[in-house]
Amino acid sequence: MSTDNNEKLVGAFVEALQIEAITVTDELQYNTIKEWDSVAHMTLVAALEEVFDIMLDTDDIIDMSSVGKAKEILGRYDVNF
Amino acid sequence: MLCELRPKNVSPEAILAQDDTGARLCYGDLDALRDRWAAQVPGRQIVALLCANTVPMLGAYIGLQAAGHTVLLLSSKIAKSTLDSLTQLYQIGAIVQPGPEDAIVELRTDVTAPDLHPDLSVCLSTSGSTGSPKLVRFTAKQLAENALSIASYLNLTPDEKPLAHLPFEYSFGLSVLHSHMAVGATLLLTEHSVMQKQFWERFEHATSVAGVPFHFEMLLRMRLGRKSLPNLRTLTQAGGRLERKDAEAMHTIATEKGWKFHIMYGQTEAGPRISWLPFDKMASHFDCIGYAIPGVSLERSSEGNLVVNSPSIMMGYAETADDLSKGDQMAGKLMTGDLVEEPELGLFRIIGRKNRFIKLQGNRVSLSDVEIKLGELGFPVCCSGEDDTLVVFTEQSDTDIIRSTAIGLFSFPTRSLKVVHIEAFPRRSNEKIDYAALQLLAQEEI
Repeated sequence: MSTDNNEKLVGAFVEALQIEAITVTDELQYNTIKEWDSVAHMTLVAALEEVFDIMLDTDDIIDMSSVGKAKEILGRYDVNF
Repeated sequence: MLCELRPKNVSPEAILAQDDTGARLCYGDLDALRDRWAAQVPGRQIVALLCANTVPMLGAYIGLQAAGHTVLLLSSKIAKSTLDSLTQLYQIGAIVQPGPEDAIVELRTDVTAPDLHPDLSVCLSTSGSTGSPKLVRFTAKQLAENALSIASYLNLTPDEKPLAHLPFEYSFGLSVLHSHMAVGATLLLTEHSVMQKQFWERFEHATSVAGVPFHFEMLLRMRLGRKSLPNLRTLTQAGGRLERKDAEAMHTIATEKGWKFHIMYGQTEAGPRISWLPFDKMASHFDCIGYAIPGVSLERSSEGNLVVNSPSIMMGYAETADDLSKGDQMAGKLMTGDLVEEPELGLFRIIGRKNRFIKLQGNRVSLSDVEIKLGELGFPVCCSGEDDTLVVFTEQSDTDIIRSTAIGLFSFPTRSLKVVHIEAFPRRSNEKIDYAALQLLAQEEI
């Protein structure tokens, strides 16, 4: 299950930010690469909501500042890694 | 002078603006600002102001303007090379930019001050993001007339607190400032974006917010409808066409919450507001630009072009320092280049555009400017696209370098830019680029 979720998460990042899967590490941060800007972040949020069938809160969308942080926040929506 | 816009009876202690640091500017401070900026930049000059939504930079704008200078408003993100060439072209006498605390002033001694028309007060760039060297010239009176018209149709009151996040070098952002100053209201200046917590903290105190389609897309994605915004009353959208689904979503949320969501239309050259679609007309006319604002009249020319008659139409353009000495060349009439129909008497809908402009996140981008600037760097390109997507065609195979050069030069949002390799540019029989054919190719990429 958790491997599955990891794959889904990486897939969402790859698709939304149009980056290589290998760059999607826990350390990857918002606004540190040109592909992850505010517009891409919105696409990412939509992709995560779709693959995990959840609806994120405003504060969680803002706090999702890295891949690691995304996993932590998704944990609060019962999506575990 | 624009500082004369403030109501005669406004209390000197009334707050004109409060920024993210908590710094405040009061209506009573404006005379001292005029004296300070008259002393700091001697004579009468064209001064480049690199804008920021902070009390010191707002103060610099009002003070410079009140001291009689001609203020050229520019983005603080402007590329140094663009600023240098503007300085050279217009013989700019001083550059004022944001510093860690106060504004930083750089006086230029190597320029010959151009002749400035006595009424020339504010200049804006025709294309903010490309830093086009072509400027729009305004008298203070032209901008003030527009501010008063806006204050009247939006029924602005002194207790308004707009969240002023749009930059002032952008004509829409500037009109938010002027129209609220005209009623003695308080601007909540912010440098934060929708994606930052601080934006939402300040938003809670705001009675209104103005934005371009991009901002409303973001606000909707950020669950605007689920946020508690107890003071919010009015939302205004301008700066390009909002997609129908977003317009409808905004209308639904606003109706539920008791907010008024208005769509407005304008052009920088018109100072800038031209027409508006009141919230109670939204449901039936999502795709319209609405009615002329007070003081403005609209007509459809025989070719279908929207023609605007308004006391706020610019004096004219400037492309050389000599142009800064010219008087009003427009006589209050502007051909917008937008093709319109009039489904109801006095109510207009845009059906096409004659000019080679698109808007990226509300900022007008001149396709010719992009072609010229990239061409100068050895990348001959042809541009097309639609609002929020710029398609750059090249006959060269290395599209990555063109992409990174364009982003470096113009700070385009990365996802709004597509660079496409093409065997040969489509040309007409006279060898000129066939932009209609190019537009079709661009459609395939969007």
